[in-house]
Amino acid sequence: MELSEKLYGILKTVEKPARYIGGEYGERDLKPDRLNYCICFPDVYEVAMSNLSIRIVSEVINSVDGAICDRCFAPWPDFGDKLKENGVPLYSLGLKMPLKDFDMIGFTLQYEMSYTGILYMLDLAGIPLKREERGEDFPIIQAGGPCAVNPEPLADFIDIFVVGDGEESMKDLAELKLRCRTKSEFLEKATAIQGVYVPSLIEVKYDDKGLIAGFSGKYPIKKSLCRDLDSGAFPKKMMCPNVESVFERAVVEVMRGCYRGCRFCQAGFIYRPVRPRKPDTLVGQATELIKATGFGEVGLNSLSTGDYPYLRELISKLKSELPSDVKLALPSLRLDSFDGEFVQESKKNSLTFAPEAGTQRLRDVINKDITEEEVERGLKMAFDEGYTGIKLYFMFGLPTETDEDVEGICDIVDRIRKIYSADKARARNLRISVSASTFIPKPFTPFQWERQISEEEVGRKVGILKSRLFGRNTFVSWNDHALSEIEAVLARGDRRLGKVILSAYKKGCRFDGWTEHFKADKWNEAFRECGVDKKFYTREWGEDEILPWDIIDVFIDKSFLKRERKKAYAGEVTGSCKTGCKGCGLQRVFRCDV
Amino acid sequence: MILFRYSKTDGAEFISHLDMLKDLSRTFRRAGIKVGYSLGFNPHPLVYMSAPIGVGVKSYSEYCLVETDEPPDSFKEKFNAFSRKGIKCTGAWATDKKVGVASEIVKAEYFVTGLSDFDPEEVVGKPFIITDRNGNEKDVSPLVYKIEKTDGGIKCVLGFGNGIRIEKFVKNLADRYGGENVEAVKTRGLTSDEREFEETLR
Repeated sequence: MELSEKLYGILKTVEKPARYIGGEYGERDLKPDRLNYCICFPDVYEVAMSNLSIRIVSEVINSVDGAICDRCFAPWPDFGDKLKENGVPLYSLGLKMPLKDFDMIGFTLQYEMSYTGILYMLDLAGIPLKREERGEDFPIIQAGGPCAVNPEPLADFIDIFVVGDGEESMKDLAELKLRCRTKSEFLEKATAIQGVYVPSLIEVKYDDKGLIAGFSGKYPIKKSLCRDLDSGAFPKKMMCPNVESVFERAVVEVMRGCYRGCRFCQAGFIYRPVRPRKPDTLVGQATELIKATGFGEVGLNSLSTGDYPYLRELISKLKSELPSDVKLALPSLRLDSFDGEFVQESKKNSLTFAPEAGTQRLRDVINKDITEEEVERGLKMAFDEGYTGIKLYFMFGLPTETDEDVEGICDIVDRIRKIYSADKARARNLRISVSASTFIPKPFTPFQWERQISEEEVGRKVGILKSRLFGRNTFVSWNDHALSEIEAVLARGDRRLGKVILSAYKKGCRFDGWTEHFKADKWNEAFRECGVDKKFYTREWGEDEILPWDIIDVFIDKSFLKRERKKAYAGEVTGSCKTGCKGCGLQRVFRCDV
Repeated sequence: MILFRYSKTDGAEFISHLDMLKDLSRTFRRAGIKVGYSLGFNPHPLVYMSAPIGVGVKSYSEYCLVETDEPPDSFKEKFNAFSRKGIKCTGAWATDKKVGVASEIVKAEYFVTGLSDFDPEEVVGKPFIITDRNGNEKDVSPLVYKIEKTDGGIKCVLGFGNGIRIEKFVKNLADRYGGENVEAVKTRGLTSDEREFEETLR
């Protein structure tokens, strides 16, 4: 499809116009069909094109007879403003078709701070933002992805959510849509598909203290589960982005889920059960992708690739099958899985590790099952391999944290320096960067009831780090508290946040995940004007409270989460699923292979 | 080595210079064209491109030199079978010397459409002031070599990669004389004596 002359003129005036023209190598040749679906990523092209889930959804929808899947991402503000000024509605990249002419639009919810991006895109498309204001003439607005496990903050805007894996549910949904005449018929029938949540069919009741008193309607909604990932849909092709993107590599998903169960980590619970793919399947996918794209790197993605049971076999097979100049990238390696043979093959200058907490005690609290000796052994090996820089990720405000734990972060840095300088042959100075983010309690984790610490507390902890680490070739960075706070509110939010999100968007909030665009004052204004108190959401919640996400069932028992929380306070480690089933709840619906 | 010329149209004119470099390397890999790599700590493919053309300017004459043993005919065929939309190889020549695609292509010929009628004599050889992105004014007239009226537009030869940008030049003309949907397309990449670059191989 060609660009109109008007659009062509606009493109010549904006930054990186190649983000808005489609035509990438590997792009599917689309023709409008009976069901025209558009997958949307509410962030900019460079981020969206690096995402795997939207490619899986596209693959699934395009495989349905009579359905096609196009794509659309959030235009950077310069282009967004120009589209508005010129009255050009937001369009898809493949067909260059206005978004509002699609039958169904699906947003992926990868992080809470992209929520205003959804409103931004709908607005640019000329689609009413609230679901109640959209009649039969407008497309069905759907959403899915990890944040959909607590869909409530977006309940005012989204017609239908799909919770859990998209491999089967999205296929069923597309096929159902092809059979339905009206929106209401579709929404009603869709609830029969596992993972589907239609917010208009459930009502929330509150008590006089503002706590949730209960729900009416059919719930809980069980998440959709892809039982056989190995034969699950996976795109054989992928597009080569038109502009430099966050990741530019052929990506295979070696497994879904994580054995570890770190108590702060939402992904570690909501993606359960662990489902590894077979090495041969992955080798086939990787070689095909490299052939189809010409990328110089294969990414072995998962939440913890070092835990992939057949990693050695996979790597040696990949090395013999792939062209010799293709490199392997292993993101999400844990320190204890760091083995001489497994070292990243891409540029060896900086290595990233996430100890998360400064002391063994606190690491036990969060179930980050890793010892100081393992850390040191792994680092020594990395330095021997030639790494001269290291990035360390920590969290502030984890439950039970004291100043001693913050001091512990500094101690780790000191020890790393010592290990590095023990070998005099290491000529260059070691660059260490310490990045501390504020802990955000997330739904479906043992820490879902915890409070988030205040700005003052964060400030004090930062002070400790600064006083001990500044200047010594160590870079310390921490998160903007205002941003972490809003993320925390949205993560555990309920339907009453819909009006706040809408108000914030109308005040100009968009691209909130980008520090240069995040407007704390506008968000705060929105909360004030809507009469919503952020503290209500960042406080410690009672274990017997009804939670906004109690309408969703990700197969993790609440009793298990409570048990894990208790163990956290006792400093007891639960350890990985590999050491035996911990009875999280998944065992009732799935035979985990450990 | 292979010197090749390619066109950059059909949307590909919006691809930036650096992204184009990556795109070429990927095309070679997809096409199975074996490319030599530099030695050293971070080996990179030995691909040399002519000076950057502005983002959004269509071109029928971009040049690239690449270290490969592939014969010219099969190079062109393989490249075009695997190149992205809008990128097409229009000529390939074998060479054993490392010609300076960036340093020797110092002029370019453009075909400009949409400008209102004007007298080229008023422009060539007269001061031509362009404001750069830092707001500095600069006289680019020494880089304006030729302006000729032809069927349906004007043909001009300007400096290339050395301080004059066709987008700015054309916009300036449009501001001065008027025009509608003014567009400049690069038609030829030239050496200082205004030969097409591949002729230097002979």
